[in-house]
Amino acid sequence: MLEIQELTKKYGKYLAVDHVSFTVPTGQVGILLGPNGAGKSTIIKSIAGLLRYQGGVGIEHMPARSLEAKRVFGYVPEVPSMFDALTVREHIEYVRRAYDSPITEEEIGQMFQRFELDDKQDKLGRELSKGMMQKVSICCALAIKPKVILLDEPMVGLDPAAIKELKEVVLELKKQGVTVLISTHMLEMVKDLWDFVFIMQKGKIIGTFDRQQQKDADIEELFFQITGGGDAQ
Amino acid sequence: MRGLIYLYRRTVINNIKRALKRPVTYIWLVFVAGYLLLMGVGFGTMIEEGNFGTPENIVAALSIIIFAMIPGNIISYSKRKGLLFRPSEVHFVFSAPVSPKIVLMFEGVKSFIGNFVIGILIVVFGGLWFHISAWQLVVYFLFFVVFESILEAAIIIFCFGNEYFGEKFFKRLPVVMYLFMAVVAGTALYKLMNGEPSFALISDYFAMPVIQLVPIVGWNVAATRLVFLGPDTFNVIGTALYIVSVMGMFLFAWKMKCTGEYYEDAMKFADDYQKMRENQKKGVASIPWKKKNKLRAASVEYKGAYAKAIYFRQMLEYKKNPTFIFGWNTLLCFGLGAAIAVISYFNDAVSEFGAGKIFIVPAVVSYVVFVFSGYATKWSKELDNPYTYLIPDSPLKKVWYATKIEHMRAFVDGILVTLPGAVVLGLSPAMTILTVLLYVCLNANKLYYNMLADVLIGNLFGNVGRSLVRMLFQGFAIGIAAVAAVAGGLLVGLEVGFFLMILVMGILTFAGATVASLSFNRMEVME
Repeated sequence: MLEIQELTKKYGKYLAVDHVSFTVPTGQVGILLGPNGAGKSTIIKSIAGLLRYQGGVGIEHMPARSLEAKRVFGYVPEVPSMFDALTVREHIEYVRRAYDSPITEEEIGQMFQRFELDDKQDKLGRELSKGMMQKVSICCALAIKPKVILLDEPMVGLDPAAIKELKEVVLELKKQGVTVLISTHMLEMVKDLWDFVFIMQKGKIIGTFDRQQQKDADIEELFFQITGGGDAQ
Repeated sequence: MRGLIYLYRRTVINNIKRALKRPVTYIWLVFVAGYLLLMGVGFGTMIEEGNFGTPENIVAALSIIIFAMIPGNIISYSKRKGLLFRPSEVHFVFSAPVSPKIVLMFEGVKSFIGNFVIGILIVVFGGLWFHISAWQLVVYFLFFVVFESILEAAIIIFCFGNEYFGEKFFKRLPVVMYLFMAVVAGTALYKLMNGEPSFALISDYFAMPVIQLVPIVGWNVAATRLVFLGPDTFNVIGTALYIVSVMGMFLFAWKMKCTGEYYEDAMKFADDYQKMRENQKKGVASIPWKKKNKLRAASVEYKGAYAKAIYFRQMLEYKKNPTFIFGWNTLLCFGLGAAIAVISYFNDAVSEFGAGKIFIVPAVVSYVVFVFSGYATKWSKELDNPYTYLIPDSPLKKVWYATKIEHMRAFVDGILVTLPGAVVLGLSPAMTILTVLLYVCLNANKLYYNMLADVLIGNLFGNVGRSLVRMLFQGFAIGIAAVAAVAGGLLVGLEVGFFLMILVMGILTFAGATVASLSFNRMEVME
């Protein structure tokens, strides 16, 4: 479970996020939507513990900054940054040790195959293309075997095969009871994945939708209905 | 913790493996070994000839280092800039289940290694030249490495990890430290001005009880005196206070609450540093203390087409830059010009050098241009831009228009370097102009020969290899031009010799630029 309570973040005098609260229940997929500058990245970075903020963030009923919460939390940032001198395989090994993850060699092999990284295992971080970095970043987050995972614009830079694979991975995680929060612009990519949608504008949540209550409504329609863009204009 | 140990181990091993595969590493090692050997021999001779090798003098030298180092550390750490986190660490370390204090300690490892290296240097210098006994050196090494590192670790955690004191406190702390350093330096200067200036005076200054009883810094000096000079009342008290205070600070840092709020500042600093490095590589001109360059509104009239467009676009970018085409290099040139003038004036260079005075400025600038690798400029950015290659014009013209502003900048820098010296040395206007032109020519030579080195060896031997190849070419060019200058000078006159030097240099530079223009032919040349 991921709980955000009254999250507020200021950059100097600029109010980037204004008393935002939402919850993604255990084993559900939440989608954070909003135009550029809405405050999505600020929320994501706050949940990941990278920013100072007011309010509370809970991961599996634990404060997000606690080491216990971090142990079960995976994070894929919008812009992946690799260690220059570590190979792809060594990135996974680092994560395995840092999180004391129970992931097996076999599972790592399968993950590499799914994301077409099996022949890139010995490539150094500095030798990877942007798309490759994104794949490694996703694999690292999955290698934690997280209970809550945060994906910030995860489809950017991925090839069609990897996007398809990632969508399947998200659905599998959901089945395994993992809580997922995805921040994205690509409505088309998440239309089959969502359970909850949180629409942001100017630092506030202006709409929250539950898929069951909306009777499988189209995410694109819901978004433009509330933001007034697209066909609604 | 296990993850961080693994990360460091693999990073070191992979970097060593990679370095061993590159020929440039071995060239570097030879250079560094030679440099250290030369420095060591020179330093040793200087100490022996000056009868400097006494325990009192090493204590005075260490006292200066201590008084500069500890407040310096506090200043940089309280600005949250002493540790450099990389974007990869923000991505993989900050979100990992590791105590934020442990993260700080792992990042501080470089500083602790620095203390270890300084400790070894003190042992080597102290044993070889300052006649210190082995046991004293071992005791001081342990003291320096252990206590200095504990102190630094405590300062890092206090300054970075502190979530109790607000932003205001950490803004005031550096100011207090600057004031402290100013007072210490001011009183030392006062003593120097009122006595016979000598190193013994500095030694006496740091021997003063009031200095040895300054919290932390003075206590550290007291401990140094105790080890090297033997006990007295003040250094025993100071040492005891130092050990107690370091342990106290360590305990405080251990117990202090730290949930990782500093990650935000560290992340921002990592981003800013990354941007600064990219800007440096791309040659964005800036003045060091100006924080962020807000671009001004500007316009430019494109007078011409094809390759000329590169020049006008660059001019537009520079006009938007608040410091126009000027940057830190302009300041350096101004400083260098002023230094030449002041030194020439106080050493009566006019009568000392006679007719040879006209070579003073050229000799200094040739050395500076030849030895220093220079700064990346906007022209190199053009090579990253695919549109540069698509412009339907000859590569040579593209080279010229991409670098034209650099020559203008060199002209202004040349005036700044030459004019003060020219006034003091009483050079004729013709000679002054020729000297400025020589500076422009030398810079153009460096720029095009750097480009040439890129075309010839690419990234095969890294930046150092490229600089060495460039220096080799430039050395030849300067040598040939110098021969022409001597011939002209002997056969006709000094001015003609000087003019010939510029002419020959210009021709060789043009030849280099023609070959280097290959890099504007295809983007892959630079790969």
